Amino acid sequence: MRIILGLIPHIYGGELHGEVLVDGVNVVEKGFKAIVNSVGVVMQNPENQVVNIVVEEEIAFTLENLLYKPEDIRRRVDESIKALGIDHLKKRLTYTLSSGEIQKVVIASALALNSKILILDEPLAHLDPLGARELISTLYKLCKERGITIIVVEHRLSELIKYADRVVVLDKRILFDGEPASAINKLLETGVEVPPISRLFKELNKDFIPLHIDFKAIETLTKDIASNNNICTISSVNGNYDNTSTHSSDRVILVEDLWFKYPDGRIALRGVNLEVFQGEFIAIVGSNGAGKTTLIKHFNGLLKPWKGRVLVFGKDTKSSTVAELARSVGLVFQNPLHQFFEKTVLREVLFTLRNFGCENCVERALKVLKVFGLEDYAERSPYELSIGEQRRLAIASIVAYEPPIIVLDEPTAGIDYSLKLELLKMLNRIIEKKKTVIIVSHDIEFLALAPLTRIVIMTDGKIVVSGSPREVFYKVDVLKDSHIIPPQIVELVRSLGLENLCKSLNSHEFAEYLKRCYGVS
Amino acid sequence: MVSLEKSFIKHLQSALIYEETESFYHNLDPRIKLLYLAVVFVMISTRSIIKLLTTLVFIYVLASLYPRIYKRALYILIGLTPLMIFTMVFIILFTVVFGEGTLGEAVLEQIKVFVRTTIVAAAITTVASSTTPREFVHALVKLGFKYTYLYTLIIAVRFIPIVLGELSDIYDAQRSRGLELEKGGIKEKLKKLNAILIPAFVCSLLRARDLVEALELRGFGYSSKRTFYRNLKFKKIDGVFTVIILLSVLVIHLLVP
Repeated sequence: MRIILGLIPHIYGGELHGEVLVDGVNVVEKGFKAIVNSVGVVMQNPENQVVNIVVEEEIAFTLENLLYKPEDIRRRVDESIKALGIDHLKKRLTYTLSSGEIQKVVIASALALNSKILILDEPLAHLDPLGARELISTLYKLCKERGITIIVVEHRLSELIKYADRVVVLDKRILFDGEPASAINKLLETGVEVPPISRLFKELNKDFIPLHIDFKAIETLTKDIASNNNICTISSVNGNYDNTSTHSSDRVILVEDLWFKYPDGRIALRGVNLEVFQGEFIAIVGSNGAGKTTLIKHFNGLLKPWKGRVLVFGKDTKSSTVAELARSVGLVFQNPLHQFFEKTVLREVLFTLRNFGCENCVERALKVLKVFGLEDYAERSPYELSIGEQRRLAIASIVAYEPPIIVLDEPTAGIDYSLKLELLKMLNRIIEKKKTVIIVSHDIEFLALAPLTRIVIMTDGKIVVSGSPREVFYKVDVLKDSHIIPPQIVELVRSLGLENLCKSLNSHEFAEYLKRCYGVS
Repeated sequence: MVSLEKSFIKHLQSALIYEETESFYHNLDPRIKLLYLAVVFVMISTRSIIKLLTTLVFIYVLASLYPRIYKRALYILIGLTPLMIFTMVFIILFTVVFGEGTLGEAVLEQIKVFVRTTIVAAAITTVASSTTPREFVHALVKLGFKYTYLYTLIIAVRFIPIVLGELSDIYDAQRSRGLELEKGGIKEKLKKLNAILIPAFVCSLLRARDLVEALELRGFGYSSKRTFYRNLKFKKIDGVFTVIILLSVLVIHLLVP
């Protein structure tokens, strides 16, 4: 992507052979200045590319740099604001916007320039499912109505792929370039996230693979089901997957009528009640701003209740320090870069161990690194690791001191499908040791794969529902009210009218069900 | 220690940041606002306590056109309080011990400093909370400055809230890993501070890299000139405000002893 933009080699240097033409201009030779007019970019962290304080100023910025006339700028700014439907943001301050809003502002500023090409670098990574859907439909509209070429660099394809005209699979060289429908096979090979329904059809060895729940897909499955009258019930198939009852009755965390108010007056939690038992694997789900992160920050005392109370192993968090509570509750935050500062990977783990009273624990640290597949990197700098490895290290440095409860905030943000599966394996290993795991996430398809004991859904600072994944993910109305999109397989099962017989959550489960009960293969 | 610095920065920040609202001052030409600031600085350079007090009253009456200034100016004063108390006590003690004048003179001098600070607090909040940094740049470009340098200022202001937010995230992450800044001697504390400063530095570098890319891709520095989508025009209220300011200065200067 940086080559298309002319940033390589003009800013980053390096050696480059070949030619790149953007809108007929050779950017390798002429550099990014030659294509400023034709390409708009939305970076992975769009907040870093916003320069001005007021939205309207931000949209005008590029035009001003390129010496457009004031009246011309005003007209173009108004027009692009209208095109994106962000009138309400016009006078807002840029640093108070959500990530979805910032993306729209950045897109508007490219639109104002009449850019023919719009490039987005992993735009879905920080959006909740509904935000992601909104962005994708905005992009689709721009593409169809204004004829703008849209290039999205992304590995979260579940939602995106059905809108694409063309898919390019890249792994240092181009592995595939063509229609989405025929790209699926290649994508499945490379371990990228594809829609669960595609995975399902692949597993059933069908000769065509759908990209979303369309008429043809439903028709095919309905035929399969109708041709066989065997009626199976839930228990005979899903039995192995359910571990709702495996946790003990020892209560490790108790949250009682918890209210929290930020210094700026915003009330983030409104009367939350929650009990967590030893050995549970809980997911806390909700759209951005629902209060998930605020809640988990109460578990190790980073935040103290405004009203109500939080007990960890019977101790009130109000009367304990973070360091004391962190012995029982290990909290892993979203951005691993927020915690690395030592020279080597090994030292990062030793730092945490030392803080919790384990001096000279090199062997123990090495053992943990081995479990997380990082033993070869022990003497490297944490900054040299890939993003997946960094995330593993962040988790390893917490798991090392063996806190009985481990809490992870959005552990899947920005990592691809194969890394997600790896993460899942690691979490399973932690749970096998009878530890309690709580994860905060809006990655529904990931949660549909995880052996959760419970899902807790939060909206507007309150818990609206709590129950086993099969229960909660099939409560479509509750999910809708909380702006959560159910797993795709749930939608499929419902459109096939099988929800009373089978409550599958992911493609593998459903494929097994279809094979066993209807002999589909 | 950390919380004290934090509250100091927070107070200053919440007082100085631009506010999205409508007020008399929001509609004023930024050049006039710069003139206003310059005039205020001239006025506080006087040594007469009565002139200073008159100016104080004048500035706070003007502030009534945008009443939120009072609260914001108060924030600044609260933020500066620890610093002011420290220097005041220090200077008064210093003058008395080393005999450079009487105690009365020293105290009077410090009262003047306090009055000046109070005046500046109101003037600066008036201008800062009603003018976006970009408008400042526009005004200064009109006065002949180069925009490429001025934009550094905007970017600094723009990233303050983000960097502060990031600092507190880093602090939370490290505390969750058992870091206790409160414990240990000074040397140990400084070492522990690394756990916060290094990630903050790295994250800022990454931001800076993104920002450079973005600026380049958006044609920043494309030409040594740039246009501004809103024209600056002197309006009637600008004229009225200028006359009021200048007349009052003259009156205070000539008539107040």
